[in-house]
Amino acid sequence: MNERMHWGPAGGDGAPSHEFYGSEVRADEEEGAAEARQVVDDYLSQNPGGKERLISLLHRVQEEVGYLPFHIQEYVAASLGLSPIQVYGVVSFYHFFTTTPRGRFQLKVCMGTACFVRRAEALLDTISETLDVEVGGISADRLFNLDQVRCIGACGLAPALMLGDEVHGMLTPARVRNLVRKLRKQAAEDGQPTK
Amino acid sequence: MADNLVTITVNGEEIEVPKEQLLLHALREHGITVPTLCHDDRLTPYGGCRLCVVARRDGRGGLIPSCSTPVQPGMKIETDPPEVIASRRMQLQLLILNHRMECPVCDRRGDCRLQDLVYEYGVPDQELPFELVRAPADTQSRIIVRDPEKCIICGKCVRICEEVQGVAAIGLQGRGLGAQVATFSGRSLDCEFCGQCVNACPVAALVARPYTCEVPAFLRTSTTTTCSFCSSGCQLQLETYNDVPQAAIPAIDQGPNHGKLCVKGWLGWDLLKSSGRLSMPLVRKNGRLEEASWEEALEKAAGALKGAMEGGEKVVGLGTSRLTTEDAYLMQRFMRSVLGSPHICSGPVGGTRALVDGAFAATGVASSTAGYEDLASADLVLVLRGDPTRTHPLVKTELVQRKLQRGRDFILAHGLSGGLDRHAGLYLPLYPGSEDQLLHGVAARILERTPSLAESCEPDPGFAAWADGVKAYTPERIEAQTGIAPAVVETLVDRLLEAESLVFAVVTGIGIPGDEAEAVLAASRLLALLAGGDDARRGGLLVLGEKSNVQGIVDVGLHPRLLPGHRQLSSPVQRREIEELWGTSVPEGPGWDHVELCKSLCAKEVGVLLLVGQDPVNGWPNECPGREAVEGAGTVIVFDAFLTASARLADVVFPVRILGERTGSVVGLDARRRKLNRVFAPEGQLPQDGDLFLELSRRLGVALPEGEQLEQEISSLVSWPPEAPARVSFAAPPTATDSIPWEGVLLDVSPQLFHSGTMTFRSPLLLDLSPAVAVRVSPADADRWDLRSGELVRISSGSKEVMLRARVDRTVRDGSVVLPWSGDGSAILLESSEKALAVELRRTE
Repeated sequence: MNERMHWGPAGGDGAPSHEFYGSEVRADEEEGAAEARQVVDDYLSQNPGGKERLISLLHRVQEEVGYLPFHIQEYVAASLGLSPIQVYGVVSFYHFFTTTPRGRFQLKVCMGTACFVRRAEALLDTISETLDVEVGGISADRLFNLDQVRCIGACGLAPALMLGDEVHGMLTPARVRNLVRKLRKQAAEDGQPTK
Repeated sequence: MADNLVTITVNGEEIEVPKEQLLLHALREHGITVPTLCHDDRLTPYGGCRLCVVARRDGRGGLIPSCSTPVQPGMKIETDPPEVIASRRMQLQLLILNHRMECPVCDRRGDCRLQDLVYEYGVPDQELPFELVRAPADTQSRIIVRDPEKCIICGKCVRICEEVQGVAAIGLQGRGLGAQVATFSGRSLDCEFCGQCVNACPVAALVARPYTCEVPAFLRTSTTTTCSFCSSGCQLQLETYNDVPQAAIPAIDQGPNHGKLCVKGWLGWDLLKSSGRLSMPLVRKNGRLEEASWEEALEKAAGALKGAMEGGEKVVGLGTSRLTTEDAYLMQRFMRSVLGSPHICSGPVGGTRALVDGAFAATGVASSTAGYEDLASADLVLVLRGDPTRTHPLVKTELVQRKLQRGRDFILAHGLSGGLDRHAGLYLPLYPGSEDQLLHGVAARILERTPSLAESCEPDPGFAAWADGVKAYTPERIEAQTGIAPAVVETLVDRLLEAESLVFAVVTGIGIPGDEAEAVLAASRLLALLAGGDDARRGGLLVLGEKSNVQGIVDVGLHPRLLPGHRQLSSPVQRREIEELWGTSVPEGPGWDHVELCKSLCAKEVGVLLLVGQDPVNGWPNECPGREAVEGAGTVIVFDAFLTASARLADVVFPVRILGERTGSVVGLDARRRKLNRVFAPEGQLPQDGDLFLELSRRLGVALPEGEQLEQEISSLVSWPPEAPARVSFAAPPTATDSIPWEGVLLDVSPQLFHSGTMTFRSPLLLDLSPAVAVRVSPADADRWDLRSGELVRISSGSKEVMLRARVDRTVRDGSVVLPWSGDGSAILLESSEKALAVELRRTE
């Protein structure tokens, strides 16, 4: 089909919002936005400088908030005199930054060469199925984040994953299922998952 | 060999090229074509597509990208050995593997850089196993469609948006095969819609909906003309097919814009076909305006003019700063030498006031003294009274490039943020309309810190009074009057004293608070002081007039006090020069400006009112009751393309050509004259304004010069660019006051990017893009009045009131509210453009 058929002048109802003309204080602000703005303001006042502070500021925000929601990226952009997409360009380029909320447990399956040849993919599939979560996503109960990472430097233990800062090695699908079961139990005992 | 040249060897031949020049440019200058896809002379070198590789043969072997490699002495280059050709071919193969090929039905068929190169180089026989990465087109925007499957990630669109436009509405998101040109969080495009990304795209990854090209490039007619939406003077290639615009492309190799473009020049042409266009003359019969023949309308108009002249009634002419230079000349010639009336002006145009009551009063030349080159090369640029982002997009892009591509600063002194303030080295958010006071304060500090600078100005008879006057503008007073702290003023003074060359750019526009003439006077005198008698240091003044030919109409004497060539009506000697050339007497005057004219009209003292492109009923500030004025005239003759509110009150209405339908010339804000070429033909063979003056004067028994003869007459009186003013004269500035001259909040009237409320209001595309009218309030003030975004608020000044939606905005400074200039908002409130206006806000229940 000729794509042009739906490119005619009639279509497209996305009116520009003219946000570039200013920085609107919206009535329906996201929860926690004011606190997150405070993190940005504090960092910038403690670390004088210019636009070069972007990456370190994003690190700080992610440390405090757990992830980089779009509304904070916009605030970061406005504070540094950048446009939001310039901030998102950096966020989307670096693996470390995430725009999805962080669950309680961070599972990072190593896909480095050693782990890869020892079938790390099977671990990833197992977790993905057991938790019903996509790679890069968060589980419905907001307990688990699943990510794949490049070499974590534990090649001797391949295949391996990281749970938070802990390395778990010599894994099999069965062991991974076990680990997930244990974590779920632990969370149930502790009560509510953290935000 | 000159110091600034180096010798390199290209394909076995030694050539001399400028030091530091990019290899690509050096090769091009020597007639060697190197293919490029991601390179653009408007942008900083990038080196992304690797098509421009050449082979290096001086020991440091390998393929190097010529677009981002500066020449080095002794460099040996081969531009097309087999490995270079093979490499280019491979690059092209990799590009087309991930490019959705639908060339026969593509919007860019016949006009595609990728297609051209594949045709030239071919692709390798060997097939690579690869499947196109699927990604849906982004069709959210009403104007621009983004098709990632055709995108070759050359990044030109992203870079032009960032480096030239200074907006960065799009960026590269992700990396590798997943990389895409994207908007923030996938939102619909929210930008200035300058169209530069679309024009920069080498393929059809970015397509303009309004110009979805049903007609392939090779069937279109391309005409280069001067864009006449504003006074920037951009050169545009307008491509048409059967008189319908198909593309508006900035001329890359021609100044002043060198390939830059804005939303009006890109999209505004649809107003020519707007349904409101008049195609036949209208004549009032039995109280109603009815279509009439040209003969009937011309007879009626000529009859009314003759009657008024014979009956000794006053005839007044109101022109517009959109007239071509030639038409404006004919208009003032017609008024003065045919009708014998001195009353001719161009309405409430800030630019005219800035040029005549500002520049002319200070220097004797009613012109800008700086040009675009100075904007680029001056040590420092100070922008006053407005953000060119909204009024003069080309000046804005010049300043953005100055900062982002060349690392040279500029200072913005203007109350509204949300535009150039992001890129300004020093941003001074002044109270609305207090620019001249800031400049007096700066002058006072300079006189104190570097008294020796004043020596060259001291002989001027007015200097002592001026120096005395500005001393009253102490740092404390400046802080109270402008909101700028003494330490910041001191920084500004430091920067001005350090700069070797300066440009002061003064923005004008209807509704902008403060007195443009006072600002220009203050700026001219401060520049003279800073120069300290050294002409090279003086730098220049750039008056940014609001409409396309503000400078030109002043130059040819469409002004109540100035004759062609800035000759003064009040000077018998200068008047006689004109009389001798014309062979008629020139009425002595004084001529009325629009305020006096309005008074006389309201007092029913005027026999015939000639309205040429003016609509006093709509859009004149409140101090001039336009409707009463037009109704007060005995007979009203209108030349206009549209049936405006004023035209509805007329007795005779002549439809005319506008914008790209005209020939002639306009004089840009840099005082350079540029040619208008006819691009479009209006329906009904309409005349241009000048044709009507010629015809009417024929019917009154006088032959005015036309064609070659007209051009000769104009050039004998006016020269472009004008001569540089010899000196600046001084006079005491307005007396400084201690009290803050307002209570409540100040209204800051913001000109609009997408339309200026009159002509461009007729463009459906531009109107569709413009934001809803809202009053912008700072968060603190919003708290004070318990206001939230989206709520209705009453804004009142005296007895006048408008009700608008509020928009709480962090970029608005406390104590001021921002309202866009438009006929239904600020225009109703605005009493006078001479001072800042205080308003009150009330939340509606």
